[in-house]
Order: sequence, then C-alpha cells, then structure tokens
Amino acid sequence: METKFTEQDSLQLINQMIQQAQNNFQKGAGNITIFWGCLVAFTALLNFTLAFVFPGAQSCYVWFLMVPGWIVSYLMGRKEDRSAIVKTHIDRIIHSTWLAFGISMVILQFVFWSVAFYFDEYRHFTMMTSVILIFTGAAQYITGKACRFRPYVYGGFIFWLGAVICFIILREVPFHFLILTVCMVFGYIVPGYKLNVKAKEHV
Amino acid sequence: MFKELDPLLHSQLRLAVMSLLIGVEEADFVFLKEKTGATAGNLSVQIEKLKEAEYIDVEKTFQGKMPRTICRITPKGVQAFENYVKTIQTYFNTNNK
Repeated sequence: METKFTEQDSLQLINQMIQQAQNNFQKGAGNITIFWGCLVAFTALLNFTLAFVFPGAQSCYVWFLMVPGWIVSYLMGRKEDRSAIVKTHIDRIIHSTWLAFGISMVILQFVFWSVAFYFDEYRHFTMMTSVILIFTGAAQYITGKACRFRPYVYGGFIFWLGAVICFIILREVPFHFLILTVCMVFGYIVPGYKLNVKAKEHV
Repeated sequence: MFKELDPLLHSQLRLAVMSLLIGVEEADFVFLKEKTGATAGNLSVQIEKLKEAEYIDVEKTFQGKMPRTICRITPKGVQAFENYVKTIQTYFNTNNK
C-alpha cells in the first residue's frame, strides 16, 4: 500500500534523495590512483638509480613500463565501471578529464620526439617532467573539485609545486625523478588511500 | 485554484526513485533499494509504474551470471519532475502570501 504524504514531505524527500545521490564513492574508488602512484613512483626511482649507472639517455627506456600500465589501468576501469551501482554526471566529467589527460600525454610525447628527430635537439626533454606534472596537477585538481574531495585538490597543488621545482632545477634531470616520486606519493597514493577509506565509510 | 499534483509522482517511493534518478545518469536497482530503504517487491512494482508512464527507462542486463536492472530517467520524466516541483512551489507561495 502506498502512503500519501504532504507537499512539505515531498520537498523534504526530494532534498534528501538528491543529497543521497551526491557524493557517492564506490568501494575501491581510489585504486586506480594508487596503482598509477605506485607504478610511476617505482619507475621514477628506477630511472633515478639507472641515471647514475648509465649516464646517457638509455635509462629513460624504463618509461616503457607505462604501456602495460595503461592496459592494466584500462582493465581496472572497465571492471569498476561494470560493477558500479550508480553512474553520476560527475563520474562522466572525471572520466572525460582523465581521458583528455591521456590524449594530451600521447600528443605531448609525439611533439617532444618529433622536435628531437627534426632538429636533432634533445634539450627540451629537460622540461618533460615539469610539463607532465602541470597536466597531472590540472587533472587531479579538477577531479578533486568535481567530487568535492579535498585530498585530491591538495594533490593537484602538490603536482604544480613539483612542476615549479623541476623547472627551477631544469638542468638536474635525474633529480626531477625524485621530485616526481615525492609528488606521486603525496599527490596520488595518499589521496587515493584516503578516498578508499572514505568510500568504505559510505558503504 | 491549486493545480493538481501529478498522482504518479505524489507517492513517497516513486518520488524518491525519481529524485534519485534526476541527479544521476543511471542507477542500479540495488542502489535504489539501498537509498530508498524499500523492499525489492514494492520497488519493482513502483519502477514498473514509472516505466509504463515512460518517466524512466529500464534496462535488464547480466553481470556475469547475475541479472541487473539499470534505471535512467527519460526527458518525459525530467519534464514531469520539473512540473511537479513547480506545482509544489505554487502551493508554498500561496500559503506564504
């Protein structure tokens, strides 16, 4: 049997339900962020170590680890997407933001390597970490603002700060990898972990 | 003279479902059940009524071997919801005068 209720009750119910639909964090929502944080931090540390063993540019080949990283990340995202019991407009914004980030990263690599081959010039690679950190910061900041989760917003600022520091020490390329590692820990891993804790509380 | 409220929406559970769906792109039956606190049987009946009125789309799929029911609000449903809210506002505006 259905209960008839007053207009006042209606408005209260509408407000209550709309609030319920907002800020819904799915269990394990921070897993992809933690995965990327760990993978990039590990690769950056490996690059830092290898840079002293092989002084040339060979150590940079470790970044090919990002290719399987994208595959794993895609599979994780697909699994998360399929098991999601609700999809909000915010989810779409966040998904689009990171898709735009991924496309930007591919174009960025294309541009940097094209310049290198065209002009036989490699000095612009010293800016690579700074540029990547600027893009990462922007994507993380937008994600944090969209889902109203402050640790992600602060994460965005950490990446931007890292970008500035890398630019200040532009010639010390191996140390860019150390800064990148620190940024990954405090910009990705810690906020991702906090998001998982918050999502667990919501379940 | 008060405009009559849409009887299909002026029911606690159906309004709750519509209020949840208005804020999301799509929602699983499990989500709606969890948020409204309704029983599965009652929720199914009310979802069916909203579907018949073309206020929501219902998609039945499988996740592995588990059946899933995904609900989305339709443009007609959005319009009906907006009209419902506007009508309620006229009730309050008149009472406050």
